[in-house]
Amino acid sequence: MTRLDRHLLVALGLIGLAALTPAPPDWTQPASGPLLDSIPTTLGSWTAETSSVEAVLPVDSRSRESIGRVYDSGQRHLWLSVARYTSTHGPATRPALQALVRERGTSSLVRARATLSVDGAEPISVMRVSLRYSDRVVTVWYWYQVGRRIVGDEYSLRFWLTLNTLLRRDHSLLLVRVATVDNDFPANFLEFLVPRLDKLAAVAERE
Amino acid sequence: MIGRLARSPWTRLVAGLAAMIALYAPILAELVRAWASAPSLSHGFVVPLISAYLVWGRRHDLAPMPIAPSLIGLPFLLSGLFLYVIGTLGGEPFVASWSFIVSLAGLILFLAGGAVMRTLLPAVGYLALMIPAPYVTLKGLTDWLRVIEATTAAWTLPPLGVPVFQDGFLLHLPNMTLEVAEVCSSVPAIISLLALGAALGYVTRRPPTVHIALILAAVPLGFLSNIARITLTAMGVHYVGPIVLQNALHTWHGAAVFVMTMGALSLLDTGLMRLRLDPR
Repeated sequence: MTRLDRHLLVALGLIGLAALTPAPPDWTQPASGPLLDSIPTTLGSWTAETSSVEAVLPVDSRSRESIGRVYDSGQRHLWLSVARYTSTHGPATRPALQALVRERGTSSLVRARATLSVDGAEPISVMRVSLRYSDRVVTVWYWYQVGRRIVGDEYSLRFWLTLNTLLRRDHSLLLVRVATVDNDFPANFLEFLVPRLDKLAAVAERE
Repeated sequence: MIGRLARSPWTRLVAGLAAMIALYAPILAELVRAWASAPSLSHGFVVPLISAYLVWGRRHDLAPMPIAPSLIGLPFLLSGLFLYVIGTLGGEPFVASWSFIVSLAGLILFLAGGAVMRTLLPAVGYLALMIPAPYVTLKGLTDWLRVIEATTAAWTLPPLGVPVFQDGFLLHLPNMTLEVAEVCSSVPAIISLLALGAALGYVTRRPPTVHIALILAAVPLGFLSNIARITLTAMGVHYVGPIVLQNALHTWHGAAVFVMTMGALSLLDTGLMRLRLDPR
């Protein structure tokens, strides 16, 4: 047996071993009721009425459940969308980046990082998209919650989802989007929302 | 004849490569689906063909080369296969796709040695251009370039007699509003031109300096060609009417930019070669 034959055998052995790699698990989800309805319709001075947010924040068909509400506080209003994903073990079951914001009719779109400082809590890094329409500018702040961890970056999200799939951890995933007109940062809304979402993630984790 | 073929060391290399391609078949099939689904990725179909051509172009150099298996290839092969396992188990196709390039390079080095690998390196490295960048990267780059392209076109149009008001991606002309849409961005063209610039310099066996210049020039030339296309379209809409949006320059925008940039690259290539031959 020549040296080349030995190397070929080793290579074929390694390739054969790699071929045994299973595909990501397609876990069947336990039946559980909707969770997102527990997000209160009153958060601080903000109250929500039943209305659609799809004109601003499209629904991602890949999510297992989602809620969308328009909250008002005096003259101010905002759109909230929370989507919940489960079994995010492959690209087809993870959040669709194409469905994050409503791009049709925009004349410009600017993406940036932002830090949300909420009273009494650690600042959180999130993503911000400013969309200019013919009649207004809408700013969308969004982030993900993988288990209890807040992830404010698409690349980090891919890292955490890949790691969870590798380790066979079935964490729940929330996509949280808050939109306002003219960059009106709703700090007094988020200080009530963020702790509620953390509690919600804890419930989802126990499921 | 068959006995001679069976004894040939090249047959063993081909056997190893065939096993590798069989392992990666599902990932390669996913890549083909991605190329077919997005016009901006369609250059992926040409990349393996050009890569094969690069190997074919070096066949006379390869034929007399001794096959000298090298252990240096083993860590590369192991790293590539490790990335394959991570990408497959973790459901991350980008990692799994990139692992193909690493595994392939490792396998060639492990089975055939450094001299063969050095000769095949351009062909193997070239395959990297068939792997789509993550959507989030492409999208960010596209949105950024759309505004720059619209802004540059808005500067160019008034001296050509076309009044224009720019609002982000939109160019408001007196008779129509044009949008520099996502598909109109130069990003898809630039990626395919980068692939083309790399192949052009290699196939024509240009000196390294000219080769590097051709690769680097593909990016600004692709951008400028797209500006020229947007400007020409806006001029056509202003002077002739919206009917020009149905012409070939607009409908086949990707091909138009590609052809324009190819012409510019060829001119650059000729100019650089003349400079080298006539260094006065």
